[in-house]
Amino acid sequence: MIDGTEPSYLRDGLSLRSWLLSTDHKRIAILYALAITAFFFIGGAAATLIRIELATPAGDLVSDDAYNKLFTAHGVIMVWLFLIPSIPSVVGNFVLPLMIGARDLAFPRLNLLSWYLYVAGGLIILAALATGGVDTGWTFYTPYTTMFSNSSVVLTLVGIFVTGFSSILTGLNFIVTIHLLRVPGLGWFRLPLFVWSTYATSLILVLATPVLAITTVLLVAERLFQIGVFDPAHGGDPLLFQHLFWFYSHPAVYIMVLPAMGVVSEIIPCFASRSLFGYRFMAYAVLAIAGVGFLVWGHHMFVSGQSPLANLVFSLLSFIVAVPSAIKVFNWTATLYKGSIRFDAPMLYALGFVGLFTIGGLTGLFLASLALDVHLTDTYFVVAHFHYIMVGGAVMAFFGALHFWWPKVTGRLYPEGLARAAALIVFFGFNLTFFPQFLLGYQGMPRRYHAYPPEYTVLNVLSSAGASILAVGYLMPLAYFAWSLWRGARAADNPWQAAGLEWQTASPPPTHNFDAPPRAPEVPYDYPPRPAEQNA
Amino acid sequence: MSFVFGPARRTVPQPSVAALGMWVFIASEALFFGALLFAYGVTRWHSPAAFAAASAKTDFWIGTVNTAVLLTSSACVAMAGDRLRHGTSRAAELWLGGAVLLGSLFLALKAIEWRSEWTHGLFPGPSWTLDGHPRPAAELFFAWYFVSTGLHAVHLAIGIAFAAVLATRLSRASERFEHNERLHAFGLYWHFVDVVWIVLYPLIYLVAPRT
Amino acid sequence: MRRTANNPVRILATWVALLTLLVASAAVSRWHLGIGNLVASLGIALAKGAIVAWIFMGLRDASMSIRIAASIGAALLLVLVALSTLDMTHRADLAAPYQRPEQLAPVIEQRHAATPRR
Repeated sequence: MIDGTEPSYLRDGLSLRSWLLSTDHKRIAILYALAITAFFFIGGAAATLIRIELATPAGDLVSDDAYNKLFTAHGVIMVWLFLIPSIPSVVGNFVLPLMIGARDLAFPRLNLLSWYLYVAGGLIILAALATGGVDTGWTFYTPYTTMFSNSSVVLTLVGIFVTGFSSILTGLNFIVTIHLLRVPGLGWFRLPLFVWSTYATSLILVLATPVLAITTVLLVAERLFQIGVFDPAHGGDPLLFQHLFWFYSHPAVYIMVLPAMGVVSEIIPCFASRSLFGYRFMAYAVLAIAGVGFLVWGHHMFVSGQSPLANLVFSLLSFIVAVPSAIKVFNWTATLYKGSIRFDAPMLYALGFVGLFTIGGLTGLFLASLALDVHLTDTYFVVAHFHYIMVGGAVMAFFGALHFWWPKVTGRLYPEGLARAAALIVFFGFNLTFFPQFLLGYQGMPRRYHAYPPEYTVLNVLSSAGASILAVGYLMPLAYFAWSLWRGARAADNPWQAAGLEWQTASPPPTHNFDAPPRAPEVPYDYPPRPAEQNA
Repeated sequence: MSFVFGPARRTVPQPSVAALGMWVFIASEALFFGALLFAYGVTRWHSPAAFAAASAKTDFWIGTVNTAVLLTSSACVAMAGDRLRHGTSRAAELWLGGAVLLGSLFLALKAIEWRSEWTHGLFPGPSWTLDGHPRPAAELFFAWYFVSTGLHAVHLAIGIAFAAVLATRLSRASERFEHNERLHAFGLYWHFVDVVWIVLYPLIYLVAPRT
Repeated sequence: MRRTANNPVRILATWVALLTLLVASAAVSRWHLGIGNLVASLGIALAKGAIVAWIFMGLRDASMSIRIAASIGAALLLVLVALSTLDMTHRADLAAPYQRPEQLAPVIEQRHAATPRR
């Protein structure tokens, strides 16, 4: 169906201005992709220094202050400048309107504004790093942040405040788009799971991020004017900060993982040639994760001085929030049953997600158990837990999404052999990096320390070795994706024989997405594809 | 929940894109100001006497008059919406102009109030004082007061700017349909800013009984 | 069709109602009612807000999705307040060994003021 006459969105205007002022959701997605890639590697550089430091027990590479600044930079950049925008703003921006048969998002100019706010916030944060860095940890706990830290705290908080508004506007855009711009006949229960996931994520973006915004305002006010809203000597409460901070930051982790789950729900049915098992439960589970995810923030505060009764309640709720995630893991697995499975790169990443997310999720239950958490909190067990979900889960799904939709976005095929190799290298390197950290944490090694007793050396060396392998796995796609842009084979409309409206248009699509509004499918995951629809 | 199960027979038409967008934005703003109110609640619960003493220093009359001003401005915006629906765009522009004037009056009175509080040493920081006594929790009240009224004022100023722009364009016949939707969405924003003030009013001015 | 847009009469009546409530809350503030002052002033404020939302903001005539969008913010705030209150009101129950006296002081003071010691 490639009509050579109308230009694709890539050729529709070739000047820099046409890109930087574009309101086309596909171009904005690419602008986001470039920016987050840059931030990913900056955050990754900080991680590299951290792992090099931790390869030896002595704190010999950097001073303790510098180490504090490194892990803070890593956390702040990876959370706000990479993970939160990654799948929603890159994949969501590009694919969502196509999936629902729309021409663009509901508010295209707002979309462009979102990108500029994101970049502005990111630059402000980088400026903070350049002017001496921040050493408070990405969690900015009081009273250290407000009374004792001598670093660029205010500048960093301003940067986070600005990027927060980028998030809110993106979420708003997605919600209105999904409600009102679906092609006629596309009811909610005919939507791909990626749309459901994006919708739930957008709800969290819109409702949780404003609380972060106010928290940063209060932190800045306290730091600049010493007003004491978090200081007991002034009638304030340090736990007030933690309640406000975690009320946002726990749902934030669902912002990072729900879109990843949506991606996996698109990839697995395609590469198993099977309809998604338990569609309705998958949709309800996504909403349940978003909803219950707002009720569990206190599990980050079990040893902060929170009352034991609240601890009990939050622990129970944290167990409950695991249930819908488990349902999803069971359903992905059931989708594979009796499928004809192809192990292309997207599928390798998706399967990796399922396994690693399961480990991450289960270890979350360890941490939700009060008695265990007293021992495990602020140790490397927690670090391993969240990296299993964020990196083993969300980043792998992001890479899976990049590979899956690469032909659609660029009109080119990437080299499959190299891609599979990279996926396996990432999987191996990731586990070597982070599994030892579970053991380190269990054995009592605290997090955020730049030196440690010699007993922990072996596991730390393994972890650092794994990190170097992981780095190779992340650099490979940079190389072969770039190569494919110049020398990759041209992609057809639907190289994967995938269901979904985005595959009903050209690769890459024209600016207006569809020549004629597409017809809504009868059922969402129409696999295996009928012979007539197999790609010409 | 007919909106969940796909297109169905409706008794109310689907919301416009602008209206749904504005409501979603209002939901996020509700969380924004709500978190600020939560911080107020916690702090007041810890130090009720200090909050009462601090609130007694606020200007009851400016606060009450300002509340009346904003309530009236909301009525003006509602009237503008009604007049535009009936096709009299000129009248709608005048009602919007009224809202602009009243909003500006609010800001002017607020500025006077802030200035007075500044000269009485009620701005938090090194020069803070409550009748010559440092009283930490009372300072917290005023810190919260300046943050919340400051944020509210910024929101109101943005609303006034939008109202002014809209007021000059409503009578362009070519954009009739869009104008109705835009005015409706703008009205939602304006009324929300009013609701924020309605909630702030007793928390600022009516903490301690005013005899 | 249950949608009937606002008309001048309704707008005027709403405005009068709002100003009346304002005068009421200002008047009530002159009496010493203890906790009643807070209840009355906040209650009246919420009533005023509800009226503005229902009439001026058009929730009266709005679709279900709009009504949900309008109430979800308040619902989530309730969650924040409820669970945090659960924490803050029970801190003094079972003081953990790591809870420092300065942190507990405001809460203990509150408890002693509220309940007579046996």
